[in-house]
Amino acid sequence: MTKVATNLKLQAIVVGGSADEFVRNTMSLLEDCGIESVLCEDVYSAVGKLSAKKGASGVVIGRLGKLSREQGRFFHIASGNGFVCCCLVDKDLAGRRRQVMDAIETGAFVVAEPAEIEEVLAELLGGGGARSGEQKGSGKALTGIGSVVEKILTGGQDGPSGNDRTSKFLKSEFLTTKEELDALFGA
Amino acid sequence: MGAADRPIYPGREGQGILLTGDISTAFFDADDIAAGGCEVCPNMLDAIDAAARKSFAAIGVVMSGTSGKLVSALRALRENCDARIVLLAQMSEEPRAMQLVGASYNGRSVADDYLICPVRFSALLTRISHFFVDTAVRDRLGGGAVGSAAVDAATEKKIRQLEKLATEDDLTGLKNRRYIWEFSRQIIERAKKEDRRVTLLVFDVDNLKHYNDLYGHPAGDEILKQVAVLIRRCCRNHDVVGRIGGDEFAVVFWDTAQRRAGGAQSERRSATADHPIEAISIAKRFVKELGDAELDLLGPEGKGVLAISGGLASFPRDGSTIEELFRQADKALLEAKRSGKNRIYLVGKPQSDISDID
Repeated sequence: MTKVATNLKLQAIVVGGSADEFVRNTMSLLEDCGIESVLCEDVYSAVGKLSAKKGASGVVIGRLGKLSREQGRFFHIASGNGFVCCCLVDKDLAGRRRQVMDAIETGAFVVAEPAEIEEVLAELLGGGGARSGEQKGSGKALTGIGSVVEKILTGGQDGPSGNDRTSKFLKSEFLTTKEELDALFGA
Repeated sequence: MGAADRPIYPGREGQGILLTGDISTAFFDADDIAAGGCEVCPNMLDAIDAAARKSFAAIGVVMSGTSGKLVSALRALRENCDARIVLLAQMSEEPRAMQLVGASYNGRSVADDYLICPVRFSALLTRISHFFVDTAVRDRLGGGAVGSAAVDAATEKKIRQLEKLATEDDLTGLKNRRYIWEFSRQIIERAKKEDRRVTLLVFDVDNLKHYNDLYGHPAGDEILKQVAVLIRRCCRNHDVVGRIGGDEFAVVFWDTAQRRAGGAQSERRSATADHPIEAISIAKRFVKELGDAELDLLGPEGKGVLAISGGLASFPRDGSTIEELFRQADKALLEAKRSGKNRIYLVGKPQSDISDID
């Protein structure tokens, strides 16, 4: 793994159970990146941590199912506290349309592979943490992550893996709009 | 409500009260609450966020609609603020509210108290104020600037006594008829919405008049108390048990959220009668324990003489209202009596005693 170059103080909150391999790997990745992190079992606990860290530049990482509790309200609270969310949706993508849209509308990153978390961190550390207002909100340009868009295009099925797969996170290539995502999900 | 009419909230100077959840289900005067300066967060996550940023004297949490996430949310509130937490429970949620108040988290109870709703907002203020009666705040509130919320410990104690008198049977300590009816009505409404089952057992003590006549009414009272202890011991914590008449008792068996989510075990039915097997098992255990009970007051005659006759009715199978369920269960009870007593009949299955069900 390449150590992410840091030019910004970033804090992280990881939401999930400590038994979850994705959570353990993410905590480990954050440590390798020198990013201060805390583990919260659920979004309720995470909200308290967010409020305590208000004003800091941070990221909340967790599975989409965990972060989208309470009708996606957590994404708004995180965003309001200056944190950007990064959610993993590695299964049943087609069935989670509403949740994906809730996340993306608040400027969250949605990834379909755990490995993409590192790329999101690199983006955040290089680009100034939470996304600017013009990148968020309905009617504005929204960001889908490469593998997520790819999965949507393949009908929610897992795409090709390994070298065949376009897993490299290139935000600009997948910059899309809410309307376009609606069309993709509807397809 | 104008600023001058706003109540003086208990708590430290400048602290307010935060309410979370659908307050229209909890308060008769919900419309006036927001106008009165009380902060309201419909969503639990927003409430935790608000509580972490701002100091509140107390937080009222509407339990309805929170289901399984409530414990996690309450723990998060505890971690992030010092406010007192009062659960706003429907009658059917009282057993769970009691559990949460009794449960410990980091050396404190998960919630400080609960209130059965719907109530007026002033009732919550009264309940909250007793947390502060022993603090310097009491002096502020009691020193001539007493607001509607300020009550002393003696008043609070009286209120609790009145609540108890209104809902409990003083002889047995079980719930009274009024409570059983209201609880049943609420739990059936909830069962209709959430596709759950409710089972009602109505029973009375066989030959109580005989014991009263032979040994006197104090002996009859002792029998009723003994029956109450045994039925309560046999039931699950969340089942509601009451004495609804002289020697007549009722038990309301209902599915909690956890049991419903539990899958196959909670979905088991009696093969013969489509009644929940859990309720039948509990009733059978109760009948057995009753038969084994020793009643010293009755002397040599006091062992193995206690028996009951009952009727068991289930929602939605045997009725869609509490009146229908009671009518059906009473009918089955009478059939059990006519058939020789000491048995519990299932509604809709004439001569079907629960002891015949495996």
